[in-house]
Amino acid sequence: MSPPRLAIDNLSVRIGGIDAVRDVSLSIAPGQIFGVAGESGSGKSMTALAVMGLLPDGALRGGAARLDGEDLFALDEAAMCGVRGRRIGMIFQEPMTALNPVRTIGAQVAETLVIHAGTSLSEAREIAAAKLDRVGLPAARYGLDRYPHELSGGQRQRVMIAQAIALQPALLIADEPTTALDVTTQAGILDLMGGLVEDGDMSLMLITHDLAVLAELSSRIAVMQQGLVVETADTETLFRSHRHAYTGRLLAASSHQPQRHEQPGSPAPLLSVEDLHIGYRGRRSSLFGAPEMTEAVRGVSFTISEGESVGLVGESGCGKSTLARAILGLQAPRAGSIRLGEQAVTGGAVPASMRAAMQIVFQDPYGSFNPRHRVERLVAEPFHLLADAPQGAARKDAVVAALEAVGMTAADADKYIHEFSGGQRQRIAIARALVIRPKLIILDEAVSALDVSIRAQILDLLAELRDSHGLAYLFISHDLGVVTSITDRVMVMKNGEIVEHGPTADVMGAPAHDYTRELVAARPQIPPEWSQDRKAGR
Amino acid sequence: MLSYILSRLVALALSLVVASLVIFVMIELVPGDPASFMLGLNAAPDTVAALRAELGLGGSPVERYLRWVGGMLQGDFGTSYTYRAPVAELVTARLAVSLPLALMALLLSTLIAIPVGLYAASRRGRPGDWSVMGLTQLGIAIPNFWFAMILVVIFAINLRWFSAGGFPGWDQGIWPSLKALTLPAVALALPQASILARVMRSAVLEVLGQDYIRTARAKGLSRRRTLTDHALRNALIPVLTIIGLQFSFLIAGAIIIENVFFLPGLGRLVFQGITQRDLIVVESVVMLLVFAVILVNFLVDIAYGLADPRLRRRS
Repeated sequence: MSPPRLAIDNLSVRIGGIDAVRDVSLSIAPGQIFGVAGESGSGKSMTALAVMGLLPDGALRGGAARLDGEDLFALDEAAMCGVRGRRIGMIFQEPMTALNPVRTIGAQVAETLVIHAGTSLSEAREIAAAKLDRVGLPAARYGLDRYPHELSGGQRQRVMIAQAIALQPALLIADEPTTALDVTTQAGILDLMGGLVEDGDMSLMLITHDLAVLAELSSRIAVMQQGLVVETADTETLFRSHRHAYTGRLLAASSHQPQRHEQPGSPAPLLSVEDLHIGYRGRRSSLFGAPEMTEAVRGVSFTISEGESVGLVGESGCGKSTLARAILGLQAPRAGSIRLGEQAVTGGAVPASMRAAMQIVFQDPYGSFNPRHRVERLVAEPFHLLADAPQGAARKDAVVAALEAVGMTAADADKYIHEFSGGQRQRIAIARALVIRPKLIILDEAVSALDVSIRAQILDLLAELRDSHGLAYLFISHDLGVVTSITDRVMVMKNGEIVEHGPTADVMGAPAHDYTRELVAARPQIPPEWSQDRKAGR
Repeated sequence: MLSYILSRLVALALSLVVASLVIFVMIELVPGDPASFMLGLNAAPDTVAALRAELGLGGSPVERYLRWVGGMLQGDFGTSYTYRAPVAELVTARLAVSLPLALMALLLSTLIAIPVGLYAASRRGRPGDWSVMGLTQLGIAIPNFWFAMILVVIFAINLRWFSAGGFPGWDQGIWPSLKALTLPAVALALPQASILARVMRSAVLEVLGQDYIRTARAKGLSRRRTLTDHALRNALIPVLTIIGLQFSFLIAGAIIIENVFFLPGLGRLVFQGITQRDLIVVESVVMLLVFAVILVNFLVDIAYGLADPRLRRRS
């Protein structure tokens, strides 16, 4: 066996008195795609940053990391600058913010070459053009003089990759490179990274919370939990017969199916949307010219019955969130009608009683709460929609009941939102939506930012609440797996239109529309036979 | 970029129209008639009538507004009642002092503040940062007229490097004039530089927390190059705003310093115009200052466009 490309020995990282990484050892072979899996706070990003020598100020680092036999921790800062970008490239999760907004993409890719190889600017630009071409951004179409804000998230991530591989590093570290991207874009980026490893003998350290991505791409996986590597194994072995209990829990959570019960009888229609068109006013072509109109939603019709769970999937920019805003009456449609029960929803003028029947839970559980209010006040907020809202002790009781319904305690009512973890915040957001007993809850990417185990808990909670409260859900997500596990019917949206619509199992199992097929195919999956083995072995 | 500049120009023209209307209406709203207001309570009726004719107060408000704006467009700002001279000439003479003074002070404060702010940010939480923060706190707290007097005591009276005040006039040569403006410029620059350095420091610190700074470090840039090549330009955007505000202030707000150094500047002209109730001077100078502020904002907008490509619209 060849000597390892990267060998991490007993790495420990201590930040502010907390052990973020403890005794981590792993070894990555030349040309290998090595996966590091784990949930947030497991220390996987800190491990990568420690190797790069880019830990936050004040972090203490112990152990060793050897790149082709050379101890990186023995190098001084100047020497590390020579390693970063030249021998180790790194890309990050946030494609929208990871590029300097005031410099062109050509200049940013060329910079890697100029600072390390002393390449002249014109030569560096030529190589940059070739690298951008390699990552799928041909200069003829995209141009070196574009600025990051002119590119989509997937294109920006390609620019990130181009600058990381500009000098053909021995090791590429990718920290959640596709987490913020749509499925089809993610498939393209994963494909590209796989191809780059095949190009030469570059090794790839792929850090992700998404086990399905690793199942498709990596040959070996280390699973991290609370700063420790709990298990390292070849990919197939890990999926078929993992040894550590945590790996098992992670696997189970990532493909979790909540227990759901059939709703009795034929429920009455709750929400009906008919031939809905929503447009945005764009930029004027000249000072007095008519503004361009962008149609975000084009002729959408559907109904949701009482107690029904309906999914809406599609990629970013397809009009999902605009549709949700219109249903809530936050935006007036250009044509078409929305009815909740017997009443028409008119954009901008929704009576409180109607608003009380519909609530929404957003993706970012922190950004949607006022940080200066206590949880009791946050959860009680929707009460202003009710004419006869409970007061005093009754109000407090209702808040506590809502918190308990989502698995929180009465004591949590007196805390502030920053005292809770992401999953707990999302529970509080659901409690806030529940407190006035709405008929419909719109969940806009409500579990997308959560770790798999927490996501599984929230999905269970949603299924339970539906049984106990008879709630209907409109579940908006780009994640097909989640939608499949929680909805009765699913609608697939593309460019403002619903291209396919039907019972979830039918649509996902045998997609009829090309676009749905593309989405289903692009979704990374753990080969089913691997998990069957697991079930049989248990 | 061109369409961006054009759109800013349209905004500039519209702001000027609105500002001139507001100033005109305010002067119109002054109770009583401007002529009797200027002459005081004891004026004889025929003196008031004569001044009314001289000021051109006849006709409807619309006519007077158009005459005023039309005059200004041709460089005619009216005649000062107290100085008995065209306002345009008065203002030009004063601007010859105030404008270079403001520019010198601004240049000085920018040249000091940007490196100092950058330095403090790069030394965050360390002694270098504390010293800068302490000194700038002091720079903001010290009244600038007091600082000006200290400068006079040290550099004019003891060391005799500069004169204690007065302005020789540009016809006496560039060098003596610049020399006369140096101490006032330093006195004006101190608080401005202190504010600007703090703005610069916090702007850089905010930028240093951005994801693209981590990207630059991951590409192998040293801390210093990350600071100069990636953080500086992004941090300049809030700093430009403050620079624009400071320049507008310095043009007319230097009145105390002008008094300390006996400089015939614009601030003193306005002050005298107000105390003498010379509405013609006040009206015109205010309009001119508004024009200067709007022009500076226009230039700041253009600078934004240069610094931040997201603000330019690609056609």
